[in-house]
Amino acid sequence: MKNKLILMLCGAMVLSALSGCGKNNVSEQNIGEAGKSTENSIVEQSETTEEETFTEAPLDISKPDDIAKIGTPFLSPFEDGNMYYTIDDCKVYQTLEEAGLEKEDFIEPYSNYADRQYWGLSSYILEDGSIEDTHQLLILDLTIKNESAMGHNKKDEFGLGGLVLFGGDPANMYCMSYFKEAGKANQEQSLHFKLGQGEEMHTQIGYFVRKDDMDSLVGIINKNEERFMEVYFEVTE
Amino acid sequence: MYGYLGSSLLIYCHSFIQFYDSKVKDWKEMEIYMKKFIAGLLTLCILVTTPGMVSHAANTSDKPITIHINAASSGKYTGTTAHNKFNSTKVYVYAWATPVQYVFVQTWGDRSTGTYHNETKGTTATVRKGVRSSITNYCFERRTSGAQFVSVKPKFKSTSAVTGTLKADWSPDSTRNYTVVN
Repeated sequence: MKNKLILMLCGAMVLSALSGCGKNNVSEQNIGEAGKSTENSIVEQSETTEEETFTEAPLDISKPDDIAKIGTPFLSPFEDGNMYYTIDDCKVYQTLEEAGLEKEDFIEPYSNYADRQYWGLSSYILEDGSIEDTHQLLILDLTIKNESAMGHNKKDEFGLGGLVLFGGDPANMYCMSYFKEAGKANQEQSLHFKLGQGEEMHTQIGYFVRKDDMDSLVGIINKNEERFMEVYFEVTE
Repeated sequence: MYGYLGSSLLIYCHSFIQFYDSKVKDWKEMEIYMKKFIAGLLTLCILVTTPGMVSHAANTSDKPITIHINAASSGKYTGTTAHNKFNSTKVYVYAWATPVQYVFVQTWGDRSTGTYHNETKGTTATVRKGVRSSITNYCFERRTSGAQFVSVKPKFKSTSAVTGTLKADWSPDSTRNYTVVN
């Protein structure tokens, strides 16, 4: 009798705990309806009955002929007006000390690896401040010139989130992990910077890159399925 | 994590019953042991769930994109580079330059498998030019069990016959809800 009672109680508690967890899994803030727009007047498309899927083809990162060489300005495809970037120099470092940087100077990169490994910032920079063995730190000297661009958030505020590197086969996508001006223009968006029309700034950006990928590394802005307004730039000499 | 929690609870209950089964002789003793059981259970729950409360990564930085969008009748959506999504918040889209006042948007997630599925609530969301929008989606919820993230990409199409260049910022995760469009 006592065993039955204990077992029933245990079972009820476990079931209740598990069902509660299950509910959370599908009802987090994502599904909330608060703030639903009433502005949309377009008729919604009918629901498809058959599920569409696609598997992405391996990325083609072969360097095109018109790739922007180091020292040559290239136009940002993102702005309203003309904003030019120039990679002035590139350096590869094995330690943060060599680069004159500290752990706190870096931001979470959220790079996308073909083998689906997750590399958080703490995976690149070890406890003692050294860089993880399989990676190197690539620092690029960057000049940004605002000829006539207007920011879409604020008049003179722009973002660098579109400058990513690809390397390896299949290709890994490396996102920025260091920006000298990080957080100065916008605390929530660490890759934003301020630059008025006619102004120019010299700064540095950095990426943690697998050593094996260094030879095939290429910078690409605006990678998309139709290769529309893509800009390739060199990051190694 | 939930599987881990369930397993821990089952192991705990089983061990408790086995250990005290021989000792419980009457209802009074059973009451004492039940109090111990519940106290132990609460401690276990706190220990197991605490690591899960540590804030997860969230990919909320703006990803600028410039793409060509096709006509509504073409049926073809244009996608951009995938980025990793770490939580179940809405996908943020701010289409600030578009050839039409409204654009259709879908959020595609790869369920951590490399094959992408349209995970948009209601199949398609409609986003207005210049309005910061939050797209309800099931990309993260439908990830492979145990996976830390899914790869996500938004896809766009015109709502009319007009085609052209779309410029937008988007992010896989978000820290707040803007205009929720679906």
